[in-house]
Amino acid sequence: MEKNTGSAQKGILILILIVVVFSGILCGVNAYTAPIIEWNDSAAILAPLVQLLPDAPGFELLYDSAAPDHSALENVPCTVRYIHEISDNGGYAVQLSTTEGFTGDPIELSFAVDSDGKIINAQVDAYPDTKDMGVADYPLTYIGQDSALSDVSIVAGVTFSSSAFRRAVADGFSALTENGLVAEGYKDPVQALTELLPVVFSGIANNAGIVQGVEAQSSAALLNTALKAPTDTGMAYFAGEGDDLYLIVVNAFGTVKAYDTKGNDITASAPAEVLEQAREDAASQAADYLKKDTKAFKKLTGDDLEITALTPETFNSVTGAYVLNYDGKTCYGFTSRTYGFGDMPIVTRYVLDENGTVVRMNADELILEKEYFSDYTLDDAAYKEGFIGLTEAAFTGEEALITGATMTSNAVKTAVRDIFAAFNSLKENGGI
Amino acid sequence: MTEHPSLRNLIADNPSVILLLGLCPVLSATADVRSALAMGCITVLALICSCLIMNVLRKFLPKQFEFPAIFLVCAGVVSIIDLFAHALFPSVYQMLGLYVAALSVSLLLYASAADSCRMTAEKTLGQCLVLSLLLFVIMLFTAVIREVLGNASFAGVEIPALKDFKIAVLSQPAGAFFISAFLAAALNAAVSNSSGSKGVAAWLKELICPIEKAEESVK
Repeated sequence: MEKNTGSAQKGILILILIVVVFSGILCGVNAYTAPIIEWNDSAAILAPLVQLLPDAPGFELLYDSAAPDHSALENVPCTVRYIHEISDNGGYAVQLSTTEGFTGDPIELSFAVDSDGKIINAQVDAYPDTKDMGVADYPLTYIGQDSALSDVSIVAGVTFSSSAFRRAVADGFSALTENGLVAEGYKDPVQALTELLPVVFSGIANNAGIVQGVEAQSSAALLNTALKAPTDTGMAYFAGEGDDLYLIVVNAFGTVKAYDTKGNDITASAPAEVLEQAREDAASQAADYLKKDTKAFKKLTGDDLEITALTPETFNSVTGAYVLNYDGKTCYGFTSRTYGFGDMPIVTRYVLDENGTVVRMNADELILEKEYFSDYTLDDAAYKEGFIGLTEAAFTGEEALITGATMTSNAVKTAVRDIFAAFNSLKENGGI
Repeated sequence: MTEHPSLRNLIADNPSVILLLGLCPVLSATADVRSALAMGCITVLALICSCLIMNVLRKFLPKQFEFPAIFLVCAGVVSIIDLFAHALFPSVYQMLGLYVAALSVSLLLYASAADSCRMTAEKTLGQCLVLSLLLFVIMLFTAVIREVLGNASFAGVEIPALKDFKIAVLSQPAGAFFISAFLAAALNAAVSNSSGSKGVAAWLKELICPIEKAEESVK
């Protein structure tokens, strides 16, 4: 017994000794390796910057998205990963990551600006998309640009990824200008309004936020430029002159709004005759889909349908809104025209009950280029059934997913969000 | 593993492939030849260090405290190696990630350290070196198959001729399991009929036997 106790005590002592010795060794090893590991980690972050500016004397971290509270910078967009100040230079280097490209995988990029706020170099650090936007050359087109990015264009055929790149650079500039690190570049009114257009009128832009409006002839003398949405969701006009240029948007239902270059709603103060001209011009250019929509909704509800048009005040992809009376019920029908594959229009229709729940869904054609899509899976009937019972609160976007057809799925997702917005608009304004 | 290891026995009763011990390095780090080489070196170093330390401690440690000591020593050794690898070889460490730290729960280390408590220092070192060499060979073999056939490359260098003949599953984790399984089956079949060697079933019986023997001696 005593022998056993002695043996146990010895064993415990040796175990404690092992713990103490190894703890001591680990402390020593940690003290030696911790600075090296920290330096290696910094080097990993700085590696793209060293490639971007090989002659830079050094970089001082101002912002790290992993620890935003440790930075004095505020209102930094989520695409910004790091902001470094370039030592002895007065310039800044920004590293970003955006998932707004075509595949949705992160595109990583970095750019550096001088003390005047002009880009001195830009590069792509990671590019997952299959279509090359000119990874080596395209960033170089940004050199010399300031925060206005006036002379930067999108790459034709790779619009999603190149516009994602542009938006990311704009985000980087936003972080720098909002925090007073560089001065804001001058953006001429036309550029400012063109960039404002997809924000205030989503129906005229595709899911990448690229304006699809085409220049149209306008009979209105007081309007400078007229853009017509190919999906017939409405018109956009530039009115005024010079720095007083402003934007007028007219939706498919004739509702008019006006915005200045800062994005302020100036409908109440804009000249009434100009707004009236815009409304009349838009009405003259609008397509009449009542017959087509009536026929389509009869397919969903039955031939015994009474249809009355409504006018929601939303500026999105909704081109038709109706009260549908059939089988003793009152429901609401919406037609949406969004941009699908190749920015071609996808027409979808929805019937909602008085609570805003989808009771029917139909589409003219979902897969627009069947020879392009070889791997998609779509059971049309089951897909449309999946929308029945959907409400705005319950909609996650997954219901619109068609495997292998990302752009079509996004188009339908946008359509559903837009019809719910139109329904809410009608409820708020007394249309329902 | 046997009390009196010979080269033949070590191959026939090889822990990695026959006994399926310490599969973590073989399965986790063999997608690429470079990571297999790195992981092999780290495993070998951890194996030798922990076995030698346990061999020294065996003289002082009561038998019932062997396993706790093995756990502490293996975990400590692997932690030290992990820190050095992270600091001195960052690109290699990035390839291996968490699998270096996962070595601290490797049965291969525990089994080898436990064996070293019953052997002299020379025999411990000899066994460690042979085991290390075998592990290295197995890891390299698996890595070459996985990378060449699964990724059409070797040590990161593309092999254009094989680009259209990639077997994608081999570059996935499942591929590591497939190759280990085939290797285990092939070696087991090769050695199970040779004289003086045992195979998996016999080893399992020997593992259980010490418990039965202990029960008999108590009776």
